[in-house]
Formats: sequence, C-alpha cells, structure tokens
Amino acid sequence: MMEISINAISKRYGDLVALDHVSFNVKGNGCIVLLGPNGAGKTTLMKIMTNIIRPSEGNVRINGINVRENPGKALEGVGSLIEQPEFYPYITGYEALMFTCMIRGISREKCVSEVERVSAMTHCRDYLSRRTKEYSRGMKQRVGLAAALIGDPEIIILDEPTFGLDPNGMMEIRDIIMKLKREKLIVLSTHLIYEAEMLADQIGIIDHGHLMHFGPVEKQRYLEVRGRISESPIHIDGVDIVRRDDSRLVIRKDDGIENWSIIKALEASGSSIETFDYYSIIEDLYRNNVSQNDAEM
Amino acid sequence: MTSKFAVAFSYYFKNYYRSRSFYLMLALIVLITAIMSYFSFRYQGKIDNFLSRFDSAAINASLKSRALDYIWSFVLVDIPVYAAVFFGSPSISSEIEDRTAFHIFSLPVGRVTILTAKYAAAYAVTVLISIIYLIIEAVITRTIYGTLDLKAFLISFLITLIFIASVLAFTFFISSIFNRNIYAYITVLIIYFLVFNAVDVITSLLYSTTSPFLLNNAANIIMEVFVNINLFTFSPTISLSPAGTSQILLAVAVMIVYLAASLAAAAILFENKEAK
Repeated sequence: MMEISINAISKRYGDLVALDHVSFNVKGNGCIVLLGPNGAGKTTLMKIMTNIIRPSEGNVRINGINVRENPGKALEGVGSLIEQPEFYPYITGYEALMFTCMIRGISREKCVSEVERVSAMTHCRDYLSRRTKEYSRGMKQRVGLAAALIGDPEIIILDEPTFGLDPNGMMEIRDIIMKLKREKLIVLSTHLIYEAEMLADQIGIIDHGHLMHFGPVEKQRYLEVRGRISESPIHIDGVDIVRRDDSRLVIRKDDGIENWSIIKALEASGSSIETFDYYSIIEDLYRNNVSQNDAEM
Repeated sequence: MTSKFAVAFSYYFKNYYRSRSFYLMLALIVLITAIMSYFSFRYQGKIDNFLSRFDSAAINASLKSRALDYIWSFVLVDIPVYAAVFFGSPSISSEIEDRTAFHIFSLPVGRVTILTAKYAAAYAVTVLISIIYLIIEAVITRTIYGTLDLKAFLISFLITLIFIASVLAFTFFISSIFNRNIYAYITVLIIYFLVFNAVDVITSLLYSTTSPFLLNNAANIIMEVFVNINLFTFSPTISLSPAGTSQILLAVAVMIVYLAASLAAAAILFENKEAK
C-alpha cells in the first residue's frame, strides 16, 4: 500500500501561519510535486510528514498510520531527504548509510549490499570512506539521497533533491526519480518549474501556507501553436482554446486527438502555422495561483 | 537482529570517541594524571604533616594511602563534570544547530531510543576517561604506600560511575532546552559552578549546614569515602574515618534523583523538539 493523507494540517509559529488547513490525499505510484515560492510552506509540510516538526492542527497518515502518534511505524516504509542533509561529523558516509539501513531493522549482511546498491545509484561510492565533515554540499546531497533510498522504501519524500548539485548531478537525480516513480510514491518539493514539469504526475501549488491547487498534470493535453493565427472563429471537435492572440494559440485537446489533425484544421481555417509544441500548463497554474510578487521572484 | 538501541549506540559511540572533544579530554586527563603522579611522589611527606594536624596518633600506612586517595579524588570529582560539559552539553542542541535532526528525526526510530543511545554512548566515553585516572590513582597509591584500601576505592569507583551518570543526565537535560550549543555549555557551567555554589554558601550561612540536595555536594562523597573531611563549607566536617553508610546512601540517592529527573525531563523535551 502506498498512501499519504494530509488532513487539515496547520502550523503556526506565534502569529505566523506557516501552513493553513492544507489537505490532500495521494495513493499509488507516481510523483507528486509541491511547487511554490521560497517560504511558501513546502518544507514545513514535508517536515510534518516526516515527524521533524509537529502540526499545530490536523494530522498526517502514511498508509493509514498517524505520523504524530506512531512515527516509528508510520515512517517504516518512508525514505526522506529534508533540507540540505547533515550527518554526524566524525563518521564516514558509509557508516551513516549503514546506520540508516540497520535502524530500519535490516540485517548487517543485507545492509552491506544495500549500501552498495544505493551508493552506485547516486554515484557517491567514491567518497563514502571519508568522514562526512569533509564533504561538499553536493556530496552531502548525494549521500542524503542514498540514505533516503536505502531499504527500498515504497514512499520517498524529497525536499529540493537537486539543490546544491552541478548540472550533471541534477540530471542524474532527475533520471533516478523518473525511474523510481514507476514503482514508488514520491513526494517532491521544488521551486523550479521545469523540474516540476519533467517529474510531476500530480502537482500541489502552495503559497503563503495555503494549498492553492492540487491535481493531476495533463502534460500531453496542452499545445502551444505559433504562426499567423486566423481571426475567424476556430471550432475543432475535442479541442478548447485556452489562450489566443495574433501569433500564438494555446489549446487543450481531449484524449485520442492527434496533433497533426489540429494543425490541419487550423490551416484549413486560414491560419499559417510555423511551430507547435507541448505547452507548460504548470507555469500557467503557478502564475494563476501564486501572488504576483512571489511569482516574479 | 541487532536492536535499534544497539545500532544507535554504536553509531554515537564512534562519533564521540573520534571527536576532538574526546582527544582533548584524553590529553587533559593524561596531563592531570602526570601532574598528580609527580606531586604524589615528590611531596609524599606532606601527607604526614596534613594528617598530624588532625590526629597524629592514628597515622599508619593504611590511613596515609586513604589520605592520598582522598587528594586524588579531590581532582576526580571535577573530571566527570568537565567531560559531561564536553560530551553532554551539545548532545541535543547540536542536533538542531548542526541540522543533523533532519536526518535522525525522520528515521523510523523513537526519539527516546535516540536519546538513550546517545546518552549511553556519552556515558561510555566519560567512564573511559575517568577510569584512566582511577587506575593510575590506585597504582600510585599502592606503589607509594604498599597498600590500597580496596573497599573504599571500589565504593569511590562505584559512586563515581553513578555521579557520571547523574551529571551527564543533567547536561543532557540542559542541552535539550536549547537549540544552540553555546547556550547549553554556558548554562551548565553557570548552574554547576555558580548557582550550586551560591545556594550552598547561602544555606551554610543561614542554617550552618551543607546542602545535601546539591549535586556538587553529593559528589564530595567520592572523596569522603576515604577520609571524611569536608572543608568546602562554613561548617566543615573533619574525621579521619571514612564517611558512614547513611552519608553515602544520602549522596547516592541525591545523584539518582538528579539522574532520573534529568533524563525524564530531557526525554520529554526531546520528544517535543522541533527542527524548524
């Protein structure tokens, strides 16, 4: 079972409301991306999900178990990477991973192969014998991700997992997440729209502690067409016009409608099409749901 | 399968014994032990002078060896305090300050398990350091006087173990209040060396007695099991006999109360600690 229920979570620090009655429910494999500006409440929500902080109101249930009441049981099948990870300075990366593995109740023998597996996956094997106090930010991030993947958890919670990595590292981590989401439930936060577009199956947009939007991402349903757009009305079965001006058209199409049939219909109505591509609906969602000052950050 | 406590203990123990604090304490102990050894050989004649001020008729090798152990223990009572300041004061606050809590708190292990494992690891390294001093103390006493009051030494040793447990628990409790190591360090030092002493002076002046409920006073029993001399207060006790059973039990009871109360308070605070 892979299920996370966020039930009316609020978090207050004095007068500051970090989260205000946030609720959603996710089930099954896939990647849920929490998107929002800095300070929106994404990390706070993830910290509550992983028992690092307690909610002021509401509760989080993982596979039906209340995290607040029974964190040991609720987090058994959960791997997480919250903020930039830090480990105890005088232990090696290998020891940190062995500890993470064995604390999950896995035998020492199995942990040896498990550490080997996750360190190969996250490309951190070369420096695991060094003490963590010698690590750069990127090295810590990779070992932190390896720790999140250890024991093959069915739910993985990742707070800005590509933070601090070089471009190659970012691509590697995104590839790992793309593979993992076929079998696991991943909750990931980012403030990078292109990262969200690449990874998200469902998206939650958080702003000032409010969940502004939550729902599936219909990546393949939106097209942006550029060229000279005819002024005459456009009616194509199964296609809605989302945005329109002289040189640009954004449309949403129903399942089963081929792109070429839309282009053909547009040209038949007098338009001259130069380019077309899938359209980033996430950026639209973000602009519509995040207050303007934040969106421009 | 290894228990979560054992896994966490081994992890924390490694982190403690490889730390700079451990090697610094080790260096200090070696230095203090060397100084004490030197002065024990160099000024052994002074023991007779010291004892003859109280009862020159009672002086024999056994009393002299106990007097030397008393002097060594005079230094010993502070060793666990400094070790506890090194190892215990940052124990919980560092989880927040150094951001290690983000990893540790999100693991499927109870916080009480983490706390007790860390406490046990800090206890182990503090005992390790104190034992070095105690062993040298016994060897030097035996070498100089050809005898060692084994019973008194073992009682002193056992009480030292209990004292380490209680003073360390106290530092864990203080550490769990704060999110910054420096506040924990300063608070422990102020409470132990200023507040406790101030309370002791006040009660001594007002009631002409020591305050048995203070941890630093209870710790004096580590010396007093050799010869029952307490010159720290305005109402000194002077006896060349070892401290009595009731005195020992009272001191141990005080230590155990500090231990239990501090650990319970630390567990409650740690359980509700948030890494914001």
